[in-house]
Formats: sequence, structure tokens, C-alpha cells
Amino acid sequence: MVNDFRLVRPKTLPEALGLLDEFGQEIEPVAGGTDLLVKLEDGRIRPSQVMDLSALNELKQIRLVGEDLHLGALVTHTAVLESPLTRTEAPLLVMGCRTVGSTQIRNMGTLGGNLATASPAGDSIPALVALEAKVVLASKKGERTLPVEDFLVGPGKTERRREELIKEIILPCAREGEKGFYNKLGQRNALAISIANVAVWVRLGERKNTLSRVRIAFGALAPTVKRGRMVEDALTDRELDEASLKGITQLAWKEVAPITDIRASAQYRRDMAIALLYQSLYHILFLS
Amino acid sequence: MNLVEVEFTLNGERQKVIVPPRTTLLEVIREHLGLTGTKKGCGKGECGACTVLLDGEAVLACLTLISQAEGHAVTTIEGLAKGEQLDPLQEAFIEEGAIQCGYCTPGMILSAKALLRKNPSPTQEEIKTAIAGNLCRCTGYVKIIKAVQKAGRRSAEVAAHD
Ligand SMILES: Cc1cc2nc3c(=O)[nH]c(=O)nc-3n(C[C@H](O)[C@H](O)[C@H](O)COP(=O)(O)OP(=O)(O)OC[C@H]3O[C@@H](n4cnc5c(N)ncnc54)[C@H](O)[C@@H]3O)c2cc1C
Ligand code: FES
Ligand code: FES
Repeated sequence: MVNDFRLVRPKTLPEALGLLDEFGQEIEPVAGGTDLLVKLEDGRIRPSQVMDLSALNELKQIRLVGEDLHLGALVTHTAVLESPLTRTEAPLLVMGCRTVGSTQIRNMGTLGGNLATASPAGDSIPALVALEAKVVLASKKGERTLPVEDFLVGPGKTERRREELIKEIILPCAREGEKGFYNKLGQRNALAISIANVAVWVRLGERKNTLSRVRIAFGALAPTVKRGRMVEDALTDRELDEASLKGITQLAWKEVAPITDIRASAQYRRDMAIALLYQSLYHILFLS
Repeated sequence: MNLVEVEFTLNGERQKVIVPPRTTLLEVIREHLGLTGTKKGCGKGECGACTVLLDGEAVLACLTLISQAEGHAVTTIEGLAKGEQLDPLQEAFIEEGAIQCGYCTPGMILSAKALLRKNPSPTQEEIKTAIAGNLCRCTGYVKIIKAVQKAGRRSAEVAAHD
């Protein structure tokens, strides 16, 4: 049974930030509610106040600003899938959001909620980390911008202060010669939390079968979504074939630190990190 | 008393409710407004029995706080038929035998309704994606998919005649 909290319903962002400035310690914001309502229902959290963000239309926009895409915190996974802007400018993020939950969960769940929940298995996060996206945090006193990678501290832990809201996410638009791939392993195709996942972003090199830049993010394979910098370096600026790709992707096991839980063992997750990474790069280099 | 006032439309009719803020849209629909077509299965987002339309999009009433419905249009299974005339989806579900115990049916039909609104002639894969969040323990889904395809075709024919 959900506890009896007080509800605040700001109409604008400044009003919301004013409320958080005053009562931030007690307030739990709610966006789509798909994570929060589950936690309220089973009593894992018992806030004294809940702030309904649903009237803050200014946080629902997707905008092109120069070479960057700005996605408001309240943009839903469905909006990411359906917006012509994200489809052309952020295809890797589209691939991630497409694998979230079910249609209903994607219609309700937001990017800001996925980030704030900071699950190591959150499906929009690997794409954001691989794209070197930034998160804008707003408080009454002003705004600060952090790389998404630094924003995530541990399972369920972020750099967000109680008086701050996630305002938006900024990522660089896709350019000619760039490719991405998101590869999720779940127990089934829908309504499945990632057992392991990997997002890969590359810039193709001038010579055939080379990559001039590589970014890799592993999900559900460490306490937070994690960059694979060793593998990235090993893949950059060298001619790749099936054999060398197979060799280099083995390095992935050194980059991840998975746990054993009800969904899979640590050893299985390590093996899957390598397999998912190999598949993704194979797809990018030789199949697309 | 700690209460919130929320106004929204339910199946085209304006509603105003005054309830404790922790109340979900599902509780309001079933317990306060007495429309029991919308079902509660799991209460945590996993079964889809509580699916309703919010401004035409399928959402889960069990994970929606009532305040989040403020100013929106909610449609439940009771809102689909026009008088005695069933919705093409309801007719197709009956004709195809896509209903057994019926517990999943309201949610299933509303997910399909949201799909057909955006995409009147969906492929089998598109239908599967649209209803992946609606569990059915009886039918095995094949007849449900057939019914959705049939309803899509029929709506297209009706639209062509209008
Ligand atoms: C059945 C089911 C299946 C799911 N499947 C997946 C899946 O496959 N992949 C996946 O990644 N996730 C999944 N989820 C989790 C969830 O749907 C996503 O994490 C979603 O993106 C959360 O967004 P929300 O807007 O619903 O968050 P909410 O529940 O509204 O909020 C979650 C947390 O974030 C905080 N918050 C929200 N917005 C802000 C903001 N702007 N600023 C500061 N704090 C904020 C809230 O205070 C709360 O603590 C699933 C959930 C359910 C119930
Ligand atoms: S009752 Fe809402 S999803 Fe199961
Ligand atoms: S008809 Fe029984 S659950 Fe679907």
C-alpha cells in the first residue's frame, strides 16, 4: 500500500525548482512513474512529498541547437522512437529506447527517469555514455552540466543533489561516416531487464575496415554503465578482420566487473560482454 | 484531510475527483467511478491488464498517479462501443475467438486500438510489438493477432465508405 504523501504540482520549471529549494530533502519527483510507483507500491520508499512533473511542458521538447540535440528530461522513450529529429540525429539512442519494457512502459517512461534511476541495466544509458552525452542539472541557484558517465555514481546513485532536477540531455548529432549499434541480451524480447548489453559508436576510417574513433559502453556488467576504453584503443586505427576482431574483443572481460544475480552468473555475463561486443562490431564493419 | 482535486475526461465525459494523492488512475476508474472493465493483474507494470488510453496512447493505469491524468482524455474499454455498435476490434475479437477467460481482453483491445490509430494496417511483427506488454494466459496470442489484423482491415473499409 502506498503511503500517504503530500502532492505538489508545479506548473513551470522555476516553480518546481523553488519548491525543491525549500523542501528538496522531503520531495520525490515523479515523471512517468514507471520506476517510482513500483517502489512506492512495495514500500521501498516512503516520501513525505511527491512532485508531479507532468505539467512541465518545457521539459518535453526535442530541439536541434547548432550541432547538438537537446532532449528534455520528460521526453518519453516513445517520443525518442517517433521523433524525426532523433531518428536522423541520434539513431543509437533510438535503438536503446526501442528495447525498453513494453509499448506502455515506453509511452510513460522518460529519459530523465531512466537516468535518475541509474540502474546499471537502464537501456537508454549505454547509448548516452557511448555518445558522450551530457546531462544538465537545474536548481534555483543555476545550472550545471556533467558528462552522463560522471553523473552515474553507482547502482541507483547519481550526482543529483536533492534540490536539483534533471533538465535536459545534450548529445552531438550523428555525422556522415558514423555508425552505432545497441545489442541487448534479455531473457526474452519484451519486458526483460538486460542481463548484459553493449552500445558501440564508431567513426569509420578512411581505409577499408578501419575505425578512426571508437566508443563502447557496457550495461549490466558493472555497478554503473561503463566505458570500455582499453578495447576502444585497441580497435582504433588498425585494419580489422574477423580474426583480429575476435582477439581484441576478448579484452572486454578486463573492462567489466559483473555480479551474479537471479538473472545470470558473473562468468556468463563476462562471456556475453565479449560476444555482444563482437557481434556489434561485426555488424558495423561487415554487414552494414 | 490531505486530498487532491483532479479534472479529466473519461470516455468523453468530464470528471472531477477529490481523492488522496496516492490514489492511482486505476483505483479511481474502478473504485471511485465504478467502471470495472479495466482490470488489475500485477499492479506493477508487468501484465497490461490495466491498460487504458491517455490522449490516445496506451498507458498503465496501475502506475499512473491520478494527478497525472489532469487535463487529459482517458479512454477505457467501456468507451469504445458507440451505443449498441461495438468497436471493430471488439467485433473481431468475438468473431476470431480471441477471448477465453477475458481478463486480458480490455487491456489487449486498448493496446490494439492505440496501434490501429497510428497504423491502420500493421504487420504481424508490429502487432506483436504493440501487445508485448499485455500478457494472456489463455489464448496463445495467435487469434488475438488475427483479430487485430481483421479489425484493421475493417476500419480501413469503413473509412473508405465514409
Ligand atoms: C514492467 C517494467 C519494465 C521495465 N523495463 C525496462 C527496460 O527494459 N529497460 C529500462 O531501462 N527500464 C525499464 N523499466 C524501468 C523504467 O520504465 C525506466 O527506467 C523509465 O525510463 C523510468 O522513467 P519514468 O519517467 O517512469 O521515471 P519515474 O518513475 O517517474 O522516476 C524514477 C526516478 O527518477 C526521478 N526523476 C524522474 N525524473 C526526474 C527529473 N527530471 N529530475 C530528477 N529526478 C527525476 C524520480 O524522482 C524517481 O526517483 C521498466 C519498468 C517497468 C515497471
Ligand atoms: S495491473 Fe497494471 S500492468 Fe499489471
Ligand atoms: S483470455 Fe484469459 S488471459 Fe487472455
